[in-house]
Amino acid sequence: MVEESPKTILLIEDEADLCDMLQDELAQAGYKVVTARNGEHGLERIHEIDPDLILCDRAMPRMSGYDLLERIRGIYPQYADIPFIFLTALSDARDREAVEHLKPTAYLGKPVDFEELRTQVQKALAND
Amino acid sequence: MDNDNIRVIAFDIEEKSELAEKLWLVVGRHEIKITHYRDFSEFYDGNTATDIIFIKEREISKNRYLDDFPLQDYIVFLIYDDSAEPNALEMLAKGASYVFHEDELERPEFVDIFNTIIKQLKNKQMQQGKKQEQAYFQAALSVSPDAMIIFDEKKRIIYASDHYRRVYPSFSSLVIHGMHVEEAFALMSREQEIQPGDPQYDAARDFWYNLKGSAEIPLKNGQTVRLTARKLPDNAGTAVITTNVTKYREQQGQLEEQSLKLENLLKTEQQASEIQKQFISMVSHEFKTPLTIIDGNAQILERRADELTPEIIQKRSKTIRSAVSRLISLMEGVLSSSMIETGTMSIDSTPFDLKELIDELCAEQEDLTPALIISSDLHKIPGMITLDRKMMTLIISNLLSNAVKFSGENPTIEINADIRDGLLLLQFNDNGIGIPDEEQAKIFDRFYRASNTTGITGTGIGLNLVQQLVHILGGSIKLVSVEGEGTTFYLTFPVKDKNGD
Repeated sequence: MVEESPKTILLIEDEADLCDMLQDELAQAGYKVVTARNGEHGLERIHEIDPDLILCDRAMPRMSGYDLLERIRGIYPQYADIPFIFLTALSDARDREAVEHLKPTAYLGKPVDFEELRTQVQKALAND
Repeated sequence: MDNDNIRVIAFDIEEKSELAEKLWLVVGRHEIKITHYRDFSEFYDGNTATDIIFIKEREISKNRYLDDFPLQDYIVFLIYDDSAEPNALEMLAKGASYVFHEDELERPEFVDIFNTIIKQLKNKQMQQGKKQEQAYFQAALSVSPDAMIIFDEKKRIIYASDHYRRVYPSFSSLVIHGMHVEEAFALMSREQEIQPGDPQYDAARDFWYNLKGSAEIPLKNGQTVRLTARKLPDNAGTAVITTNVTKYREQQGQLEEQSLKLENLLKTEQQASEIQKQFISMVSHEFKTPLTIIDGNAQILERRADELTPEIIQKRSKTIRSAVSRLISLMEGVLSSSMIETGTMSIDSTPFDLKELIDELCAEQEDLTPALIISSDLHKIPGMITLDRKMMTLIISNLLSNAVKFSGENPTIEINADIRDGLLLLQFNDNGIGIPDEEQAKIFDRFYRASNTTGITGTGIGLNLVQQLVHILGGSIKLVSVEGEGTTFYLTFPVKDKNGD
């Protein structure tokens, strides 16, 4: 990466250990990482920091990742250009089909290979 | 109308003879055949029935068979010729109805008499035919499963099939022919012991008074009949057909019951299969989360081994271990649940320190969730208690992890214990999201998850497992919960009080 300022990733994950681990990994890769515990919290963060990319779990209390993306697609057109990547254990074909219409940038299943995660994040940011 | 039914025979009158031709001129006009017999004995041997007999005078005088034959029952024309003039009175006494000279057969008197006789015979036969028809009709109705009652245009009974006499005994002791429908209804309602105001009475009365449409009426004997009124052609009156629909209704009821059962079965089956699907999806999700933590941390340790500080390695290892213990308890839950399902769970009761176990499990939870505050009052628990330690571990850890999982950012748990009358009482209170009132009855069902748990991971087997284990240990579990405020579980276990030991 040859940028002057690092890109900001909003990481939304309710599992503390997982969140911590992913934050560590993404920070290592040179990104600035902001975390949120659920969709509701995540939406607040989006308003605050206008992230360059959103990496989001699906099953979370209060507001799920699905509900968050639905809201972004429905009532926040100003965030439509932010790449949105799902990182979720709900990874079978049925789960993927259920969110297709919301057009996430990528859909990664858990457990995740970090190489793959980095590649997808880079790709999404490059297209941005 | 053909006259096949009127039989005419002639004795001692040769076919094709002049006399036969004369008779034929009169009889043949009615299209009636004449059967000729040489003499009376020939007829008598054949034992043939007849209506009209033409007989020659000499036959009647000389034939000894005739003495026994009831000539008076028939219409007998005695015909004589010039050879002998019979004594008319004597002949009439012997059974002859009319006495004619053979030449007189061409005269209008004979023709008139004969025509009149034929007419009368025809009438008589018609009457008999009608009577017979009526008898057949009644017999047929009496073997029909349906009863029938017929009213004239003034609503008076002109016919009622035998069924009515069977159902309403008073019908047989009374002359019901000519009875008005309202009077008949009064009789029927008395026998059925129904009164104005009873729904059956009102429905039956509506039907009988109007004699229109149809009605379904339950009878005193438990049977149900359907009454249907049908107008007779030309406004001649009304026929009421009564059909016993008891069996039909019963069968219909059974059919409905069966189809309802089947529907419910299918619904249950569909629900079970849907719940099973959800369970599999939840379990896979539950397993994947700690696996992701383990795999991710292992990737970090592998790839960045040379640059990691001992502190970070320690932190990553600890996270891996906690994910592993999460997997183990998850697996134990699923396994125990299926062991209970298959009945392969056995109790291993040995004395152990329950207080110590609870403290251990609380410490584990606090370790996993730093914000968790647990306050416990366990001083009343005796030093050693005899119960299945493994089962108690599953019960308590499930309740504790539920309390944490379904509480907000600052989970608080309160644990109380007591021992009374050989019963160990445990109480777990949390400040979590609570269980909606209407779902509290279902919360212990296998795989059931309350509607307010969306987004919170879980398999829906925890509380079911807890309840089953509590029951295996002979205990009980109850809950009091207010949505948005928290839940308290009350558990009891029968124990041998080791206080005195």
